[in-house]
Amino acid sequence: MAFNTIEFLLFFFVFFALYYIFPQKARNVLLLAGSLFFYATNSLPLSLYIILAIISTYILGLLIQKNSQSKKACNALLSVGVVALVAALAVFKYTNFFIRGFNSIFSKDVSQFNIIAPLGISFITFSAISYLVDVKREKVIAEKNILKYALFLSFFPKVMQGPIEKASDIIPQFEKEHKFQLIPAREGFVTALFGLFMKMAVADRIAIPVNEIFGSLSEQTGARIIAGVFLFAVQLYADFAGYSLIAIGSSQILGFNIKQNFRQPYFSLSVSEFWRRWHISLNTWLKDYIYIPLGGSRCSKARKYFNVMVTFLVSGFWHGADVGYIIWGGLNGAYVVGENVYRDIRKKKEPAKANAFLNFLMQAKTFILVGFSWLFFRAQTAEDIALSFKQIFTNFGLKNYLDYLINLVVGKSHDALLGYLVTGFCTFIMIVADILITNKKISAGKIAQGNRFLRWIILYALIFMIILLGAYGFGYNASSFIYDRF
Amino acid sequence: MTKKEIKKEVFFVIIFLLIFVLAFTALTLLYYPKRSPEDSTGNLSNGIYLEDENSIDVLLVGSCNMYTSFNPLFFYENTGITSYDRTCPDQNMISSYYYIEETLKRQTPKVVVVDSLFVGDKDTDEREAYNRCAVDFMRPNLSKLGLINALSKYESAYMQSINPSNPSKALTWAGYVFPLLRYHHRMDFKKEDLTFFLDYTGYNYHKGSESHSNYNNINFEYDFVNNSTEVREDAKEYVPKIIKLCKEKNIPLIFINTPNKYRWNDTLTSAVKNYIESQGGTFLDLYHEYGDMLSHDYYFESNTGRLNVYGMEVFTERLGSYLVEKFSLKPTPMSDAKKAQWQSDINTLYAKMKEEGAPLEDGQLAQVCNKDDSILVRWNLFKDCKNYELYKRSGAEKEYTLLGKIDGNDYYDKAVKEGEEYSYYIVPCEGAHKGEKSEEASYVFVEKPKEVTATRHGEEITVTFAKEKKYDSFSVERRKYGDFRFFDLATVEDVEYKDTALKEDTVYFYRVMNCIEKDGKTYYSDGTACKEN
Repeated sequence: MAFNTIEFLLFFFVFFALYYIFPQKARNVLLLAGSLFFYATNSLPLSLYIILAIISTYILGLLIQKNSQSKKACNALLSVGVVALVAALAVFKYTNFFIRGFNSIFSKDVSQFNIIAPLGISFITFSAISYLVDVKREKVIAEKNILKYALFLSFFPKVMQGPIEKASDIIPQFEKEHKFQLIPAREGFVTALFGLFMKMAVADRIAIPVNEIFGSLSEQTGARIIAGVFLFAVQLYADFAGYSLIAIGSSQILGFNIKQNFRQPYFSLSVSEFWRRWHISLNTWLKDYIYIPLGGSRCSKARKYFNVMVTFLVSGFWHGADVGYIIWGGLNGAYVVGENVYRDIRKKKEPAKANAFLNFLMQAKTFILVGFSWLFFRAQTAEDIALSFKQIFTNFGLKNYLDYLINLVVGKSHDALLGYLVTGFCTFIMIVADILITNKKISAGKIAQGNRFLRWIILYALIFMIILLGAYGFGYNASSFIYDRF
Repeated sequence: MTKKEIKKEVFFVIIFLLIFVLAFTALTLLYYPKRSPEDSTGNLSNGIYLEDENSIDVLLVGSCNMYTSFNPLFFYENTGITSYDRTCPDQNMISSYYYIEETLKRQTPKVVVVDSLFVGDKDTDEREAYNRCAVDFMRPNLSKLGLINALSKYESAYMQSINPSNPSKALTWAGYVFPLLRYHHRMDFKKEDLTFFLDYTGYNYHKGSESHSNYNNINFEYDFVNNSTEVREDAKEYVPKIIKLCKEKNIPLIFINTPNKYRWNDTLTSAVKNYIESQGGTFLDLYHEYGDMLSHDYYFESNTGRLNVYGMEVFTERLGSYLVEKFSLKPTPMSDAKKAQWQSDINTLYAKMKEEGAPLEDGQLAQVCNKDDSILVRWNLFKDCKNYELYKRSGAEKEYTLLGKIDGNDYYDKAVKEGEEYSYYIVPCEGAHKGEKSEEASYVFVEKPKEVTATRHGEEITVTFAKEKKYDSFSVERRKYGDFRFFDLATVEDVEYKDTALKEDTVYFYRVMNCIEKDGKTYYSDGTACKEN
């Protein structure tokens, strides 16, 4: 049940009504029942995974705390938990990757398996690992109430694609009373609506040309592939940031606060800054549980660069079992290391905001560098990556592409032109909103508390833009959220 | 929050929702595609809402095969008995059931006739589009809701089996209940969208039928073979329901098939017949019963294999006689005003037939056109004459010369030169009309394109049909796989055409004809077709 479906809308509406009708004491039970129902609508048999994950890590958390005096026992218990979680992740996500690797290295033909991974397995794995590590580090007390612990892992707004919340941030919220509060609920509604707009009117519209280009790479010219890569950069942002806003907004309506996962990352002045503003919860997790344990930046420069590279490679591998993700991770690691080396040599700090033009150039540079890396992320397989580069270097076809664009404007395909104009308009709205949010001119909170007339105009505009301009139903190949599969 | 604040907030929420509903409704009316009441994809049969209560004696439901076979106006003209075709394209048994259920709330027909093609005919990837024809112009009522619920179940399952990203059952259902969710992507707004903003239903003089005056076009290269042999799952649920409903209402019911060149075959007929009879229904095999009609090309409209208006006349007369006799139907008593309305509708039909310009009288030339490397001359036979003298003259000649005595109704004249105009007429050799000269008909011979290629490059297909420009223009037609006919795409002067109006996952076929302009008239060669590659 994806967030951009009628089914979710109905589910959430009914759940919202029940949630505030139910007495306070019963609300966590309802929340867990709703979360497990939400999870089971994806696949009932695979729901067993999350139940096993909840029970096993709940017990392990208690055991780690109980044996906190014995470092050896704690480490052993933590290792059992981490190995079990990573092993499950490996089986579901990486089995075929290793088979393909084995076949390729040893020229064998071992059949791949038709494996469907449980919903949000990567997010659940990281959340559970962070919990066990934090219990072991005594940063968090092991949760005795299994209901609250189960909600930590399965809370439906975040179970599919995060954000990856820390136990210390979310579990205390299950202990609080949640009375209906008008202003936060309004704020959540605005946030979720804007997320839905980003997903349906921007990401899913851009997905149409992107899917076409990457679905038939051998027929595309290099110019079209490059256009496709940068369109994908926008699509991925609108898709994943849109999802995160729906998760944050729907949580807020129910009285929960989930941390921001994106802070207008394409306005970053450097790649390093980009990674502090993109998928914040994952990058915070990687920093806390990979980068810092490796030594972080409090070591030699060479070691620090090594730590950065390892962290980004883990990020790439976490995203998927294909060469493309690993190259993507490595490339971004190299960008960040490069920036660090440059700054270390020039003894400069990270670029701060300068004049508007210089900022724009820096932002453009960051967008181009990050955008290029998405080529590997989107193409995924070694074959498609090689094909993309082959087309770029041997069949660039700039004139052909310009002719196509000119024909689009002056030719007779008005429907196609209108389609692109609508997509451009929706993207423009998203960018303007991002600029206003960055400059603190507008926020969901301000809209929720501000003038009713203005609020209604914004709400109606968002609702009708989603209904009229959203890519859904017949005529569109509705896209699932891209991060569903991670 | 205080109680006062809560009341105030609830008030504003209600106002917010009311404005939303108003805006949503207005946009729905704007986005709803406005279709003519005479268009089979529109509200062809929903004019029944405007008929008086209990004024219909025979109710006919079904697909295009029904609305192009039985014409209530001909039936009324012959017998004085009223009837209505409650039909829509590709009407499945679900729609048939709910159409009957809804109609029986206002009408008390003496017999119900159901076209049974979709008891067995396979689903197509255009299922949703046809279901839309069934639902869109129905008035809001419980039958419509029942139809939407049932269609959503079968349609979403079928459409998702074709493409998993097709809309889910919930979105399908919502799209029927709130059509704005279905038509939101429309950008082709026209003047009619505002003209018919509030009222897009209309009186249907045709009583739900649709008549076409054109002939079967022998140029058509048709690749459709109906290999359906099994009863559909939706029919298994709804045929028994139709039988039960009519039994409960004590209304006689018969299922029929119709003469059709492509859609029916022996296997399908047996499967459908056996199933309906196993459910206690009555099946009338008119595909075989009226099989003699299949040998008359001029009973069938171009390309679709369905009856044209002349076949419709014959079919209506035959089935009408059967119904009158079998169910002892009597002319309906009605007011003079009502009679005048029916007569006016009949006059409108004949005026339309005349306007469409297909006299099709026996003993007249029916078709003179280019076919491959010859001019094809076809004529309608007198019932008492098999042999005809065919006369010809070229543009340069003053006098006609006898080409020969022909046994049959067509002749392929290969003695023709490109760009030259030829005229023909026939004279019957025997029978009551012996020696009566037919009207003359002329055509210019144009060679057909030697080769046509269609090559896809991403989002466009380039159709190439000549190396050099030798003709005044080229007529380009297109169809997609499964279409019954080619549709006009463009007339161009260049030797190639770039088609950019393409749908995803669709294979296209093109047909091109060379054209010569002469005396303000365009003459077309035979077509050369190809599939995209």
